[in-house]
Amino acid sequence: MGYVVRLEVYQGPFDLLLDLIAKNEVDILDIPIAAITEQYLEYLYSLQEKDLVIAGEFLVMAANLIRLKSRLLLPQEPVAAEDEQEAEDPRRELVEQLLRYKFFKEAAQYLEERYQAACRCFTKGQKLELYNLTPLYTQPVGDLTLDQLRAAYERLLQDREGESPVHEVYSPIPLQERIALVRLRLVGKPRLKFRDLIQEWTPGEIVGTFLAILELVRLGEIRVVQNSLFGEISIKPSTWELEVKA
Amino acid sequence: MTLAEARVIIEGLIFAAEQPLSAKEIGAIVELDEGTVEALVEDIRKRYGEGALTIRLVAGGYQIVTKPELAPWIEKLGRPVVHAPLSAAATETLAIIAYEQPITRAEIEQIRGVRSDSALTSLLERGLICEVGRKEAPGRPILYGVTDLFLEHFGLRSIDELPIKSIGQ
Repeated sequence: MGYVVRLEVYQGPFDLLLDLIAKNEVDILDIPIAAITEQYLEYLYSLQEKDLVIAGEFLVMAANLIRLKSRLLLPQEPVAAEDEQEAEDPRRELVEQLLRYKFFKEAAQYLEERYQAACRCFTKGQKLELYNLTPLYTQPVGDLTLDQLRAAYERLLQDREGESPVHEVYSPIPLQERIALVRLRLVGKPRLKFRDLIQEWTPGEIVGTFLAILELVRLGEIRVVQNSLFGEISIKPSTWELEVKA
Repeated sequence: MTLAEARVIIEGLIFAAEQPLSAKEIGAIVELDEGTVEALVEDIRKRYGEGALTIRLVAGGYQIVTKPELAPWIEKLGRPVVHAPLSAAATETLAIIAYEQPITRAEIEQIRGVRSDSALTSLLERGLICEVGRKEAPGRPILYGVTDLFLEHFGLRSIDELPIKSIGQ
């Protein structure tokens, strides 16, 4: 699991919207969509300026708001007049979601208060994190200064420049030819081991043959079975199997 | 056994128990009805008077705890591991589960409008919620509910003590 870095104050798009509604002192049941959308987008732009990644959910809401705004700008179709019912407010769904979220946000605040109050009573023998424990890493870098660190890094970069790669895989035979070779070897055989396909045991040959096999699996020409980790790989032509079954 | 003797025994039971002890559990041991047990517990609480301890009712059971006004002093000793602060996301998720249980992750995420898997993981790790079954829906998603430990940590007698839900009013 990665580290969670929280920079924005808001728990999500609903949280941000509720805050904008509160700041604008408008009725949640009659949200001025155009103004709120503008401020919502402004907030996202401000995040972008700070080079922060905007969570996908915020963008989905932005799209919803813009869609809503355009729907409200279009003239209403007069179809609803025939119906007894009033035309549905396009904002209704959003308002319902916001009200629901608002309730739970308030419930969370209530829980938080209860938690703080309950925390003030201690049962016996509770595990305490004592404050006087010596932290393990008080000085993780010792006496190292920033300049020394920088010098060490530059040295490392210089060293790396001249270094040749540890592994270099080079296949003189193109993949298409490898595939052709594997097909050829498979002709008339019910199964074949991967090691039987390798002759010279060079990295290029092993990797090239393995890629050829993956490609043949993708094309549906063969099936590959490996019973254990790093175990023998057996290769069966799919056509052979079909013939036997038939 | 006189009532005075029973009172002493009950105090001992509550003290020794690892978890909150209900009036019913106590009654079964001392062979008294729940009403009498409740009255005796109240008596113990009164007798603590100006001392350091009190008895609180959480998760449907009694628990001997230090008085809240001692908190600043006890906190100088160290911070209890169980009382580490909850993140806002976790508290929000917990509130939703407490009211809507049993509930799936997808349903929680729909209410919150954001992904909630890390909040769920931390609540599960702390034992505040648990899996209570599977929803009869495609994929049979896991249903979550709150635990007794949740009630205990939040000082709630039961789930009914939460403020009444008033959505859409």
